[in-house]
Amino acid sequence: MRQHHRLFSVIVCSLIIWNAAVPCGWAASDTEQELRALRQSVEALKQTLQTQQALIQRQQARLETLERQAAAKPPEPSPATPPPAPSPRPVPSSGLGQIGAVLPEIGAVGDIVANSSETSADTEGHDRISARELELVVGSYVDPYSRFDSTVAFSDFEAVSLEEAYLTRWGLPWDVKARFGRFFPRVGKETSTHRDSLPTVDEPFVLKNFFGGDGLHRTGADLTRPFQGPAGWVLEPSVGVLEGGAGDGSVTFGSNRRRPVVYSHLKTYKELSDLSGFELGLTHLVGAGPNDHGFQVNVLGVDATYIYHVTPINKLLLQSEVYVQDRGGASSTNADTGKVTHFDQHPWGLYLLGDYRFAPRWSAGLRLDQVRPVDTAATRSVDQGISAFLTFYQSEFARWRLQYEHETNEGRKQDNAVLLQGTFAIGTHKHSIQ
Amino acid sequence: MTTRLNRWWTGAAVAAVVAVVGWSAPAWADRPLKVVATLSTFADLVKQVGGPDVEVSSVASPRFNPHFIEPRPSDVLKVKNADLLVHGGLDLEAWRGPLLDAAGNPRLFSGGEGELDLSRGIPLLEVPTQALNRLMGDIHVYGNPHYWTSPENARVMAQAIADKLSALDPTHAAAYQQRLAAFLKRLDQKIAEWQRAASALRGQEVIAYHNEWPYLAQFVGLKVEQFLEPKPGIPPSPKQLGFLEQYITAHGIKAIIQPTYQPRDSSEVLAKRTGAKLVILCQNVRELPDASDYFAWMDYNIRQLTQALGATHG
Repeated sequence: MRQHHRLFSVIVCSLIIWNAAVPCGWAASDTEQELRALRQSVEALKQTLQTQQALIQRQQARLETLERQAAAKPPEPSPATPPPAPSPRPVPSSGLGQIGAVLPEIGAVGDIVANSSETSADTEGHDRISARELELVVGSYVDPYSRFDSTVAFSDFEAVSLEEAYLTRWGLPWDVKARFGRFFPRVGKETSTHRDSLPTVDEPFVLKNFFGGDGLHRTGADLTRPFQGPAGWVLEPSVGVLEGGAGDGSVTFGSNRRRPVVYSHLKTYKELSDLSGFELGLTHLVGAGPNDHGFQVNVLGVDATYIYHVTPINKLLLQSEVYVQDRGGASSTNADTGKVTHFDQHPWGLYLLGDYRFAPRWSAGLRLDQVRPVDTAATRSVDQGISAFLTFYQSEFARWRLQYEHETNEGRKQDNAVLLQGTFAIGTHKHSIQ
Repeated sequence: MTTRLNRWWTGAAVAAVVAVVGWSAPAWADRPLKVVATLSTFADLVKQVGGPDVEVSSVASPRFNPHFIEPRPSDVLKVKNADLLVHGGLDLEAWRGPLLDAAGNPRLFSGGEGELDLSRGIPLLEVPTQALNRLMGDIHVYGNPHYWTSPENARVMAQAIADKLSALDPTHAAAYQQRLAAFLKRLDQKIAEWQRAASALRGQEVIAYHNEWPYLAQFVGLKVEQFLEPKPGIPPSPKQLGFLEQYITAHGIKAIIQPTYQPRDSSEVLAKRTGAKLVILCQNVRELPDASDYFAWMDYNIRQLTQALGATHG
């Protein structure tokens, strides 16, 4: 309390001194000089405040040390004595001391990609260096029951995109956790992962084609709750309702956002040892197709992930996802001729991925892709790809990745591409639990 | 029909009351407290104080660097079902926040009744006195967070654990205080023994891989000022190894210390070039089989140091 009084006195004195120091004819002085003087004064006040806060924290820590040591010293048991109350000292959540407790966590992740490709198409990112994405991440606890997280993505070849803006609510009946807003639904494995956490430069073909080039982030609500299953398995079912449509470039669902997409996912996890674990997930989505005839498109998915820490440094990741769609009655009618074209009822796709961290700063991997895309023309095609990638971890917050990608499209030209990606994070950077 | 409806409503009301009562009753009324500790050392301290009245587990395997843990779905479930989370506070466990968010157990959030930050009351070392930025590497803004490696701090941690367990589970408070007293008594004896054994270490200097031993060094009187990492979290560079080679030779340094989870290649190269010994210490309980509990862990570390630096310890 005394420290607070002292702090208050220092601030008041500083204000008085500053006020007295301002010349009477200030109104007549130049606006820029006034602003500069004000800024300097504010900076001086900030420094004083920080110094005082540091002093208060040091004194509190010292006081608690003395209290704890005094409590811990007597070795004699005294069961009859009631235990001393724990001393409450709030721990600052950032280097700004207690100010950090009210400020949101702010971070930015830059994703710069250089792409050299054989394709002649002048589309996004080909044969140039592009700032593919700058994610501005802001999040904080709202109150004891909820947290708000948001991610705004900027890019040098597309509009600003609101990737996430959702509230997480805990403490609901039956320990259910709810999300409300715009988020990545818990669909499969990589679909629900931020780009900076992916093991490759780009998303697998099947995910790009089915859920969009920049991932499936939709507005809606979902519920989840983990619980202990049989034989040591952890089960985590999730259900959610999302707005209609899918991600950028995807044609899985129709573009009518009023037609909801309902998703469900069951994550199962088995801890095999301290060093390894296996995860198996099942996904189902149902929504409207391009013709907007109710729930006519079903997507089923299975994902599997195996992680083995060979040593504390060397880590093996094996991952795969398979998706198949049931597009009931997918067809289109030519308005002029009346001819009906039936599209592929069961487009499907999968990828297999392996990544091995063979040194503290290096990992290498391989990904195989195959997808029979959702077609909106009568042509059928199967896209196949093989990608090899090498990652260099410059530090915890900076990473470089070189990827070679060979793609073959049925009935079309082959394409070879080399991609170099730099990913850099500043500010608060958290990885959500996968 | 009306009777059946009334029965139905009565049944529903009874079920609701039972559910509400069940919901609000202390979950641990008839079972051991479920405690999750972030580190195995904290878990062992909880076990020493809590005995059979607690069911304790830890998140971070002692075989991994505690800074870079990837919590698993099984850890999320453990935290979700826990009555108490014991953690290191400060900015040691950057993964703790996402783990708590994933578990969604409001009791365990910062300031909740089921949260215990063991850094409270610990006299921290290397508290920054200047503005920090990431040019300085992987910085710790509150001070060095590896405080549990000094047995002096075990007193404070054990006391805090006993206080918290007693507050959450008053029916076993006497047992917690008794076990605390026994632990502190044994700790006092062992501290005297460790200090006697480490007397030959006082004033000697060693090189460390990462700056994670200042509290242990302070306890045994060692000087640790140079590290294989040129900056915290940045792997050793050829330039840094070249500098350390000269430094070790010039200062007659006998040992390079590091835990099991840091890569050994650079340390081994440096040891080979300079003749210094590579000493593997344990940062946490159960990191090696010899460090099976708190006292065995400290015994192991003191023994390793005294053997490498010319003193003896049984």
